[in-house]
Amino acid sequence: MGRTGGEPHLSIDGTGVQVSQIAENQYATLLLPYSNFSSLDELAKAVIDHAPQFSGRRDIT
Amino acid sequence: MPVRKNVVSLSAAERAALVTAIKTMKSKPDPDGVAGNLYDKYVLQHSLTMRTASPPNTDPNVCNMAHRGPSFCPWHREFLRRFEQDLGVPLPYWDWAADQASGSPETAPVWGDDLMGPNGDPASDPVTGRPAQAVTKGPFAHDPADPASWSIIQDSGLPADPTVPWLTRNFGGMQPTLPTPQDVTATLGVTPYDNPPWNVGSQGFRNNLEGFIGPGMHNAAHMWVGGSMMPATSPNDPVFFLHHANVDRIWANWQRQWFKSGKDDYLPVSGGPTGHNLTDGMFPWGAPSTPDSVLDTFALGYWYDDAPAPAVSSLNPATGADTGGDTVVITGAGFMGTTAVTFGTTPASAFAVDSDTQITAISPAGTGAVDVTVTTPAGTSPVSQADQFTYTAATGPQVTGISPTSGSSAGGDTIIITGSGFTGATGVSFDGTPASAFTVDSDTQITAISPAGTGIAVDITVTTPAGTSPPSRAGVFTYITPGPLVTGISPTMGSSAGGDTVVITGSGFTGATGVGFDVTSAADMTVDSDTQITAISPAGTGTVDITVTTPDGTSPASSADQFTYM
Repeated sequence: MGRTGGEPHLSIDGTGVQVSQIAENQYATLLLPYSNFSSLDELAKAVIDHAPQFSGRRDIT
Repeated sequence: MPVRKNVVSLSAAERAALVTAIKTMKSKPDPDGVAGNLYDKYVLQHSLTMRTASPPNTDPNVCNMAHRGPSFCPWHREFLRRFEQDLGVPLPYWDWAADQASGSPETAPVWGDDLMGPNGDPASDPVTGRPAQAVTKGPFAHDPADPASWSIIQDSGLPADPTVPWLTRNFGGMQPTLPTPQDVTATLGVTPYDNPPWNVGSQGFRNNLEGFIGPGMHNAAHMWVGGSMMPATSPNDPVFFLHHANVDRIWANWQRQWFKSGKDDYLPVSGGPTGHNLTDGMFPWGAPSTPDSVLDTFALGYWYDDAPAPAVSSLNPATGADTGGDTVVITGAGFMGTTAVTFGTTPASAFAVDSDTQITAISPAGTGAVDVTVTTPAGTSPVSQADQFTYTAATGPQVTGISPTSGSSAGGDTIIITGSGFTGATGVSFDGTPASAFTVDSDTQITAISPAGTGIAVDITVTTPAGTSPPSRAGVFTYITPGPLVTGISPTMGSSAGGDTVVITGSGFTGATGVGFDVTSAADMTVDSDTQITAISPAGTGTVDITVTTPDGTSPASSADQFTYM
């Protein structure tokens, strides 16, 4: 998990997740569009816990 | 006009009709041929709109065509309006704040087996492939053995969802609580509608209601339900439409609360992201589906069951002329969307809705005591003592003008008197002196012949069996006396030795043959004009009247002509 070329990058079990940094300490993803997240960690945890596409996955990079 | 009811108020028949109507949409083709059926058209439309950035934004997570920007409210109002038309029955709303206040929102009526069905089952079933949190009861449970059972769809623009075709819910899983009634009240108090930068960073009502600031509101309810309500394909869960009817109701109530205060205005008018300005065509429909086109729910043909029926609490004034035309301020509540104001059974001559609590109306002609009622699509105000307006008979004749406004003191001039209530006039008076003659030309005009008289402020009055017109500025008549008249002098004091220059003003001075300071002639005089003479005072004492003599006579002494020797 980190930032590549100024854009946040998130991969869960090798599957990329499109993430936007929309403000300082504010991240968003269309997988969970009804919330913003204060960190990539928080976003990744929410995706694993609540986005069915990533249910049960754990390996976050 | 359909009324959108609270879902808890639906009868068993209404609940059954709603469920049947929703499931029927799954069996109808998408007229656009894009989705597999009419219902799924709305799922894909919502998802596509959510994935489409609104220029100049390039990231839909900053602002897309229906979310994270001002058009959030109008876009979903139009989306629901179109869905409701296809549905064929009124959409109810899910008042999640009330359910939260009840303490057990997970067992609220909306989740009944004859409505939306319950929470998802935490257990998965590897035999059928059923995922955890799948809804297994109620009308929207998926059954692999029943092709007619409820199936949800994916959006090819998003990562594949392995739970398809099961509808899933996970109450409280990501968002532990729903917004409260206090949250709703606080949100209703936020103005203006929106603010730059017109996205998730904006302050204002929209972003509070959408939920990126404040108590979460709309977003929180999506996340509280969880499961299929989480991604952009959230209309897969039919409760989406009940949820958004509630969001729309809150916006409608906000509009009512701030109606015509200037704070209810939709913003931005221009300068915002594409699709979000007042008259922008909204994606994907385009014009005429603009934010401006959906601001009035009454005009759209629906309202919510909590919209207050109109009620009249007072009138000011509560009386008026039987001829009508009086301005009456009506106070009360529920006046937004007023379609009629009546005095008894007669419509007001005109009315303007000043706010949700005030109407200004012009009374029609009438008699006796009548109830003033206000009608909106939500009903007609009940009659009460507070809404009674009493008509009173016109109080006799009124003089509103005369022409000409002056005439000879000898009388004989024709004077046109205008006003009202002249029918049956029995007398016309010039300060108590009857007119030499008069003719009632109409209820609004009399032609009179002035009597002989004097004075410069003579009231002309008209008497009928209903009374005598009150003196008014419009009825003042001035007698013009032939011959000289002194109306002023300057200075009004001078030396007892005489020799002071005194300017005399008045009328009828042409041909003046003398100016007297009482019985003493002026030392000298010059007739400057018909209205001015310059004289030189003679010697004298005390206070004297200055008079002017012409061949027509001598001016009468008055307080205006008095000169004092010092």
